[in-house]
Amino acid sequence: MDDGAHLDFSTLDGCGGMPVHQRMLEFARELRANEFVIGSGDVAEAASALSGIDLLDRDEAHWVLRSVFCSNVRDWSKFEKIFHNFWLRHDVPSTVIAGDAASGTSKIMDVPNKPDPKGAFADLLESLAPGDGDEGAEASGTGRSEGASSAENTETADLAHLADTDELEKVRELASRLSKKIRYRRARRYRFGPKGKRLDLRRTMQKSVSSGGTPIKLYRRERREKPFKLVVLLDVSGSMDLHSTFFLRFMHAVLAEFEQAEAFAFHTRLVQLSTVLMERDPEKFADRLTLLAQGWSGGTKIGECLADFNAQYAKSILTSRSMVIIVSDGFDTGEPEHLAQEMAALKRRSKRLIWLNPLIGQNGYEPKAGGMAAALPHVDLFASAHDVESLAALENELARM
Amino acid sequence: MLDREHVEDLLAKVGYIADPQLAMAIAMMDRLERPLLLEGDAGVGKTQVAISLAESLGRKLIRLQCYEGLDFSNAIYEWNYQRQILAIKILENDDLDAAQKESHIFSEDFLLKRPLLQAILEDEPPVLLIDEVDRADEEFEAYLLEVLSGYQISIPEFGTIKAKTIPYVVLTSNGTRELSDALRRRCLYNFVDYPNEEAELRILKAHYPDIDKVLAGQVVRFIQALRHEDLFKKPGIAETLDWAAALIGLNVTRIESQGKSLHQSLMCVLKTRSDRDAIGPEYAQMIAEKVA
Repeated sequence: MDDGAHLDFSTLDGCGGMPVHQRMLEFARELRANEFVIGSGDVAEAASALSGIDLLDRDEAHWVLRSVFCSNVRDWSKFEKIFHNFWLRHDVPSTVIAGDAASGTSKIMDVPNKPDPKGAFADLLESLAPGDGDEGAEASGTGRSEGASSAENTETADLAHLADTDELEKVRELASRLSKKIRYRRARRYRFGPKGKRLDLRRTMQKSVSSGGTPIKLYRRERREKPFKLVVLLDVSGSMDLHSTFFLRFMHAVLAEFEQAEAFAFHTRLVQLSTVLMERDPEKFADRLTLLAQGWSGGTKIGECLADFNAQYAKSILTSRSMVIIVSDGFDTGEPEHLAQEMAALKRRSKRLIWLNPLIGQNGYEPKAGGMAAALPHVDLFASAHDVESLAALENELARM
Repeated sequence: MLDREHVEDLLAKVGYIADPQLAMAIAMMDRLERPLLLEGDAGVGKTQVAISLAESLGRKLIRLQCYEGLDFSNAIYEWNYQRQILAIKILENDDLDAAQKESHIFSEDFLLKRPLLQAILEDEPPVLLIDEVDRADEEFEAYLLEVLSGYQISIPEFGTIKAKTIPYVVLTSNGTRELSDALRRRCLYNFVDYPNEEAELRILKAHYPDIDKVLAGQVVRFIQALRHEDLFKKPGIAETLDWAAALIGLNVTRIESQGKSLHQSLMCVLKTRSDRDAIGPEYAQMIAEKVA
């Protein structure tokens, strides 16, 4: 706050030819440009709230408007700056709005405007485009795609070699089956149901009217099923290149099946994929993924990405009815202690923490990579997921939880 | 009608030191007759706002603690079925007609008033505290919104009950679940942060007027320093007060000269094992010397 300046509420009295409500409407518009949700009623209310306030005291007005216009922490922390820019500036307000809105959106627009993405992940994404799945997998350098040609082989083929549409369909079916098994868990809330153990007194009384108030038929309540939330964190670093394509497809199918699911990809940083993966049109889906892929490169910092997840998303996303699946080979360039710490925090917030490691299927692999060993004590289920069979085994494992 | 300074004074009288922004929000709550949503870390005194407000205004505090599975029969109203069944049996031999019997068993005597209904039926506007609203599920939010937007409750067998007075409604949330936009828009909003050094000192002195001035300063600066550490559970205001009480009870006047017992007394403040490990005896001593 710059103490020298006076709040330009003098305009509220009509100074500069701008009546009170007009200026307030413009302020509301400015806030909306900054992602505030403001109804038309709120503006009128704010104006009436201000009527009892000493308008020359800019703190007072600031406090009033902040209470009325903010509705969450993000609004709360942004408000002060917007307020001061708007009311303490002596420019014509419309230029303020235009300028700020433009700079605000250009920030967002930056990403899509960048030129073609490069690197392994981009190749991987190309293989996701519909119709050219075969070429994509071959282009990604597996060199063994002939193994995935017969339907019989599908069950044991490494996921990395699955590419043609038929086989892809199988992975999808598996994902759907899996999600159906774990989609619902019993909730605390009761509702009417014939098999319940609890009496529904309200309904019993209501229905007893026909028998003169004697409750002959008893009605019961049972526990309701509630959607179970699944959060998938997928490692898309270089060492996972062979597998990430298929886990992306798997995630896509799971997101489509679950009522509540979130997907993230990580590398050296964390990116929320849910909004992209929920895209049902495969072409748009590939386009949007490509946009997200920009700037991705190098190794894996699992610990840092999990820390990011814990700090930014865990609070609002994870509930006691959430399962977190991490898909990674555990090759981490960060500190193992850091990873262990973040895994512990993640475990505290979720019902079940699962680590799928595609390397388990490979001969001679032991989970000794520094990060992997540090993470293991916090994991409820450590399982292999490199082919359809291991995913199918997991299906039962998950259903049993 | 309340104004900001009045609110600050009222709350200060019962030992709650409100920052001007919060006091303004409470004044607005009164003026605009809208509920106030308080968010912030656990332990910053969100719940205490409602408790202190009720105390300072001399109003009744009606508290609804939210939890998963909370439904309207626990939050709004429920018929007393057992009594109704008894009443039907008793009325069996009376020669009242069915309609009279029905209106008897669905009268107010048989209605169990839960907090939300109770709050709108008071003669003097009470303070209604809806605590940890994020713990209740989305369905409950819908009921809540209905009550908070119209201040009336409709009971099918009975009719619509309109609010006698509009209560002061304070909702608190810890952010375990994202609240709906509709509920957020209905409410005034205030993010309650940890108090700054000066405010926390005032809070401490309000609770323990006889506390040694130097000790009070040390306690507050120590806690403020702890909040900058990367802890799983940051100490709240209650922890500050507990710790100060413990130190007063132990006749401590300077925290830096306590040696080992400094770390032991921190059990009032650091309440998870990882936090205790993070702030070891030497580290605690170091902070103590720094803030002394």
